[in-house]
Amino acid sequence: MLALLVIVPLVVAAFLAVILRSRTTLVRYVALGASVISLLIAVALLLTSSNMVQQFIWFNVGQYAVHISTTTAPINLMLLLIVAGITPLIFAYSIGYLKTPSEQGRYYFEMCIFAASMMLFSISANFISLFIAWEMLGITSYLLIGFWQYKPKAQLAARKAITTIIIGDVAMLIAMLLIWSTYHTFEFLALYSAAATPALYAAMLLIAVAAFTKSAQFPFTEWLADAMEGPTPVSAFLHSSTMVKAGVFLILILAPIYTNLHILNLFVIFGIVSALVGAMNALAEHHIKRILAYSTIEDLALMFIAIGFNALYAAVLLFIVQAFYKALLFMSAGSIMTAGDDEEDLFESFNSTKNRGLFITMVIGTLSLAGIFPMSGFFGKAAIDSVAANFSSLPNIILYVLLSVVDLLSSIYIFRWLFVPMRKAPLEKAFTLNINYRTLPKSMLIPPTILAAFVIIGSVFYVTLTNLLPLGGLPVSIGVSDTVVETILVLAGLAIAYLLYVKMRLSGFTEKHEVLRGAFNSGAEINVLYNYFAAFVMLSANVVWRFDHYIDRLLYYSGMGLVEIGNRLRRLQNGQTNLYVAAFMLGLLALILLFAL
Amino acid sequence: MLIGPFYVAHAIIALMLALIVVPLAAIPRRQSHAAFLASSALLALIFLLSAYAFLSGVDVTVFIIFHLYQFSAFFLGLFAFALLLVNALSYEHYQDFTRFSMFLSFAIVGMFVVAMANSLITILLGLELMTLPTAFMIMTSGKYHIEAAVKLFILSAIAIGALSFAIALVFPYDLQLALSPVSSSALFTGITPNAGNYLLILSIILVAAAMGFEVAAFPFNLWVPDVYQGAPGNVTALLAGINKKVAFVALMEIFFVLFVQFQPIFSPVLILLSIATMFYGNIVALVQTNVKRLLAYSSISQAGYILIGLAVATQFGIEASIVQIVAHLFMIIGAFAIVLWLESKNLRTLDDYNSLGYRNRFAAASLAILMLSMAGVPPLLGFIGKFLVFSSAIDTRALLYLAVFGIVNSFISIYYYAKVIDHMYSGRSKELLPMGRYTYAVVAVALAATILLGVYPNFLISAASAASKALLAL
Repeated sequence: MLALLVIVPLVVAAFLAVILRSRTTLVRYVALGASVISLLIAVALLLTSSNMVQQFIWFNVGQYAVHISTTTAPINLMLLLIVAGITPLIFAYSIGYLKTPSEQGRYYFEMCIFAASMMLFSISANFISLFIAWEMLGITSYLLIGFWQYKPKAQLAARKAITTIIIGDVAMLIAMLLIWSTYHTFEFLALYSAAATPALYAAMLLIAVAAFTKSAQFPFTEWLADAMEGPTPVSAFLHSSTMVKAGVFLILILAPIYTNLHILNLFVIFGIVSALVGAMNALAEHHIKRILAYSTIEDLALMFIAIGFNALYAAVLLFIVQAFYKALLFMSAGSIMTAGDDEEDLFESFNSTKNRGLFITMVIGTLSLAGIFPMSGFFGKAAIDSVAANFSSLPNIILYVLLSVVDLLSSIYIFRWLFVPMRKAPLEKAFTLNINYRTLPKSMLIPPTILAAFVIIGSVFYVTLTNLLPLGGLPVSIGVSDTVVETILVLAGLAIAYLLYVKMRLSGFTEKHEVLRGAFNSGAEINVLYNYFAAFVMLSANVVWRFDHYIDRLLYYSGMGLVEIGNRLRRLQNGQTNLYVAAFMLGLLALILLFAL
Repeated sequence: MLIGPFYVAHAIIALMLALIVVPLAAIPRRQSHAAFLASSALLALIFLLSAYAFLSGVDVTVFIIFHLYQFSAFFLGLFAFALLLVNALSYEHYQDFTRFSMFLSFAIVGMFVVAMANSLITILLGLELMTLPTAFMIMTSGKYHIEAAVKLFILSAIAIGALSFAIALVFPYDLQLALSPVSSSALFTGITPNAGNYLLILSIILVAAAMGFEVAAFPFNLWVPDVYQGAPGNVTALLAGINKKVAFVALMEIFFVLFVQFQPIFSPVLILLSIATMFYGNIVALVQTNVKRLLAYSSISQAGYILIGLAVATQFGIEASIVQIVAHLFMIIGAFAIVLWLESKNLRTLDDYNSLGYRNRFAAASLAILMLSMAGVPPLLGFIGKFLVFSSAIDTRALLYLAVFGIVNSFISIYYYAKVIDHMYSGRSKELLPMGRYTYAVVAVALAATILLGVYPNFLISAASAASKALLAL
């Protein structure tokens, strides 16, 4: 299992992190070293092997075998390299970011396990290996969101994340069992050519649900925004550049099956809704990281739209470049927060220009996200617009208009995100801020710089992607008109943001703008959905629990009825036992009535 | 075969008798250590012999009432191995182990008798021999446990009553009360399920209720949380880990041998029990704060998963259930070993478990892995069991819904399992909690089984398949 080698260093490092956790400096460098080794192995895989599926039998079911299988197909290697490439940067950033000694062991353990599962996910060639990774992703994500256990909000966020993820896991496992019982195989390759059956339809729809939960698409968007309660490197790693893209990636590799079943359009519809939800919420949001989280939802939605059009190249292009600029933006956000004493409100953050390196990387990330030529983000977004630029029917035109609105909105919110913290701090804050910006550790500044380089170089993928990746679907071709439209939209967004937040010095949404903010902030309504679901689960738990309680009550009252308290035997044969006997008899009677009549 | 099958069977029975004698001999001088060593050695011997019997494919009937074949050898070995763990746990827990050991050996013999049973009477006697000493074990553990003991005693008496009545109803059809299909009896050939055999149907339901009590199926399981919580942890481990599994063995023996032609009747009963049990166990577990109670409810829901495979009633279904039985046995013994040890430090509720991850790393990590396995996270043993059980239900298309219920439940359970893990790693206490070495060993063995059998499940699956085939071939 050559490909599985790539996760070995990280797994070893994870256990070393637990063993060595009293030696905090060592733990950091062990993790960093392991991630570099993993990267080297990933590069070696890229250079040596060519599209191999390897499998070994895990266990047998009847005459069929359940395999663990891995593949080194180009698309899998692409994700592997993205993950392996970002991991060392994140670990390096964490060195400066996370200083509490007592947390190091747990942090690096969880992060290493996460990185290993993400790598396993990227090279898995069947549902079994994928599901193992999928579960581990969910669990590590849950643990890392709730990493700061003393923050009640973080605990709630973690619970919300796991609730959503569990919905996805249920869907996934049911889909897997449906596929297994119909085709007796879990291999993706075998399923590409599988005959369409009702079971396959059901399974693929369920997998779409699972992908939506993982990638925080409508109606499962809210957990991602709340996940920002976790440490910033976690947000940069799991909740923007890697884990949330597992859903997109899953649909990407299963796209041939969806094409066979003719249900690809589904992703366009859910995609555009999610994109609007993400962009509007990002505009309504004040929390410096949540803005980026909503923006991630929008990015992922754009990828789903591209897949829905069977424009796999466009989806992959955005997939690659988004990883770089989003990780970069999150790292910058973390740096601003660190410098500003963990201030999370965008409008309470100031003086971001004080650290030149930080500011330049922020600008590069922002320009890329907004989509300004020749940043790589431009190619990613323009590719998707060019796919949608098809005016043959009314729904297509509506879609194109909506996409343009999304582009405009995202340009506004990201420039707002850039401009607002540039403001000068009030006097009482200015002094400390200046010092804090100047003393930001190197380890928090170098990784974003490297990413910024990737953000710029990433444009190359536009030209080379077709040669690197043999994929089905439409090729990418960005025309002049797409470029012009995209640029106009972005510049308009830039102008609006400049006018509102630099010239007029608007201070976000106040009471006066409550209506406007309410219109944009759909997060609240979606939260209500979640609350209903959670409430339903807890309520039913409580109802059944009451049943037990009610027995306790009965015991209490019947106990009072028994006057002879001194009678030990009486006390032992209390109401509870009687009730248990009664339940036994009632159950027996019910069964008899059901089956004998 | 190196040793004749006849001798193997007799050797096992002789060892069982020796198991009873040893603690009786040790009691007068309170030689706890000697009793522990001797009983462990005997259990190990039984384990080895039954493993040998299983691998060599024995099929021999002894004294008419015992039948040693691959199915019984599998469970003999499994129980002997699990009992070694419980024995070690109990030895560490009690000052005077001999008295406890006596009751334990009676219960052990009961378990083995059920596993080897070749007649209905043997099953009945075996179950009684298992349950009553268990009640005594709880009772003699201290005055706080008497209530639990009495509850167990009274309710098991009713269950045994139901089972006796069921057996009496079978008598006209099966004069020897032997474990062979009723319809093959010489007197009443050609009995079919739809011929209006109300007596047999009633008998099936009574068996289901009696076994429903023993395996803790809803609504016959209301005693479980009280007794599990009230009993000392080692007895709880015995109850949840082994007693319940013995009842499953008895259930399989009665339904799949005696009533095998009545599958259309007993399957729906088991389906109903399974669904109700899963939902009841999981949903109530969500709101528990006492860890022992939480595990009690969780083990109720696990019984529901096992029932799925039995309700499917195909060879694959039984095989899957056997794997799930093995999985749950190791997970719950490991978990209760930790709970027992923490209980002796006066830590009982979820809040008490805070910062366990800092106070004893091994215990917290093991409990976390066991919880993940119970929740069905691959590649641990719990996942294999659930995967097989659910796919056995999906294989027979008619029971797809049962698998869906199961999957939904197994994910509901992640909530409370995650809650336990959550608590263990929150808080900051640094005060170390040392663990006794026997508890340590038991947890390590259970953990190793959970991980190793999860990563390399093929041996277990083929063994379960052989056992289930042997059962159905009767």
